[in-house]
Amino acid sequence: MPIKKKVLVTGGAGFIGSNLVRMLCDAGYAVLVLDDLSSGFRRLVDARAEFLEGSIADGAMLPKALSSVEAVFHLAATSTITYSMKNPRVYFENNFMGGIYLLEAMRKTGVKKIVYASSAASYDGKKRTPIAESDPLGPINPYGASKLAFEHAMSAYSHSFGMEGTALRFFNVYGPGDEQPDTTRAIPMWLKAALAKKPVPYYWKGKQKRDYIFVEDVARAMMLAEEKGRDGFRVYNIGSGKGMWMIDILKKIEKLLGYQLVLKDLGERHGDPKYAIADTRKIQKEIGWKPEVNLEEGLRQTIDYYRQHLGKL
Amino acid sequence: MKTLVTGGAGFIGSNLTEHLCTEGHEVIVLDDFSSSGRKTLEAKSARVVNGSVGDAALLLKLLSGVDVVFHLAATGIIKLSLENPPAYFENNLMNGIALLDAMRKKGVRKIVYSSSSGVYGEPERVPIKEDDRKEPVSPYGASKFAFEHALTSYYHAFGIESVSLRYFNVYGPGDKQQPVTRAIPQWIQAALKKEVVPVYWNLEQTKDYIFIDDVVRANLLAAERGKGTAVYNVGSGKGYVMRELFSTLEKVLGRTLPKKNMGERKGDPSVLVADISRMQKELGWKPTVGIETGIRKTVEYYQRELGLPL
Repeated sequence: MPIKKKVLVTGGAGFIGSNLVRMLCDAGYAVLVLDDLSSGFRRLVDARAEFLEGSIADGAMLPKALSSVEAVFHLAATSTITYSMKNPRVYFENNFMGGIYLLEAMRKTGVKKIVYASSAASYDGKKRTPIAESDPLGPINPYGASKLAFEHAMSAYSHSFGMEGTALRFFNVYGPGDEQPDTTRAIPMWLKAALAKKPVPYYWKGKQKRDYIFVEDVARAMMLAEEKGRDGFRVYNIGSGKGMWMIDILKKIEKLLGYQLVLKDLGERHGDPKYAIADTRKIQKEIGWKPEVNLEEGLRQTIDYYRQHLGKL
Repeated sequence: MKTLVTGGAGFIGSNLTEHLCTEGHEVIVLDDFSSSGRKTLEAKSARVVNGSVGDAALLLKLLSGVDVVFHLAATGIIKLSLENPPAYFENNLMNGIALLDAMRKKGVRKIVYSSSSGVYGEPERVPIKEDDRKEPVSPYGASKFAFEHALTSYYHAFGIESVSLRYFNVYGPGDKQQPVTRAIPQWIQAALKKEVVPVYWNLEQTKDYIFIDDVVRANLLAAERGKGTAVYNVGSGKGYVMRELFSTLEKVLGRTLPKKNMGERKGDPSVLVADISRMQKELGWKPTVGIETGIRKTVEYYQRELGLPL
């Protein structure tokens, strides 16, 4: 039997991380998960993966975790925009400095390859049409700033120390496995409320244009980025490439559920951009990724997931 | 106005402080005297505090009643940033966050940040514009760029107005950097001491040199006229091949200088020139001191400092 390629997934017990871990196991990788369970869940981690409970800021833990690893998928982050408005410093500590400790440990142990879960919050949210990677950056909340700042550190490490880095700027990711407690993400918030027959809270009267991408498409993009990684630093948008008004997504959910939803308007939410639509031509062209699951199919699977799990969450 | 100047004992900071004092502004200097080569600050009317920008409690005290913060404190040597990247990110980003959080708590609404052309990395074209591609090649450049994003986000999230000034190569009187890594002070000091002048890249790089007084004026204009959150290049807008610059120095000194090529230096793009049209248009700033005049003034400064003849 050929020796499996070993990879480290930080934040592998989170929503996107746990989906990625399962797909990596399916594809025959040996997977080590490092997660401090501050916002992830042990039970979401595939049984075939090895699990290490700990933080990327733990200097002693990292060299051990990186031993014989060939590539790192870095998803560990504190990611709630609303909280980043209350305590910005924590976001820079966790998302930026935490990442620096990881890069340093990689440099010292000779691990060259990193795929980073970055964010569409890097952009300023003004552009109404699809945003290309080369469009002006300008995060409007500390969360976005902390995520984008780390891309520059990756750039510096690839130029200065020969690392291979790919940053993927995720737009709105949704799908099974999103169990963020006190959820701030729209689709899980809506589905949980709708399935419990409670009023469905929404913001800005649904007049925000968003790009929703299914979690398995996102995980596949990360795997492709790892496989096709080359020297240097690259950044790609990950989205469906299609913009949708939030209110229209709500209507789609209503149709799939087959009953009328009671909406509750919560007004404005500070730190939210009005527009976020991805131009995904760069990643299509350079590494051949494109989305495979459309919104209707993705929502169907997500609804099934919450139907099965809602009582147990 | 009442101002806080972090890094006010450094090369650019001390020039800025002196200018602010001369114009009658109230100035508090916060500096840890770690990298400027200065042990004290000459500016008579500034209040000088020896401390770190990472010291949150100290910041809260100093920021009372301050109208504008000029944030220049940083660890700035590219070469050292390759040896110890985390220290650069701590000093240049995290200490900056401590400063922003203290400003937020004290209601200080404006900051002028000394950023760097190091944010660009290898340029796709020159002259380079603010929105052109940026791919920092050194941890230093990455740390400076990272803080620009913190500023953007603090404007949108908390209403703190900011101007980031991306300096190209700044030169002029008052540069006491120790050890000397910047070309012009290195050349002039070696020349005045009648030593062989060390040069890099065989003098083939093309750089944009901007005189200190123009940079100081850019800071003041940014404080007066900057709106929202903005980023500007601060350079002469002209590219000089280092060889031309070397010849200009020889002309000013009136003699040929013996030189030694030290080869390449990592983390340095070979051609980098600023497009300064945005700053001209939006803030009405443009450079006023030509390169020969600037070099002459700088030579005079080091003559006085070192007590040496031409």
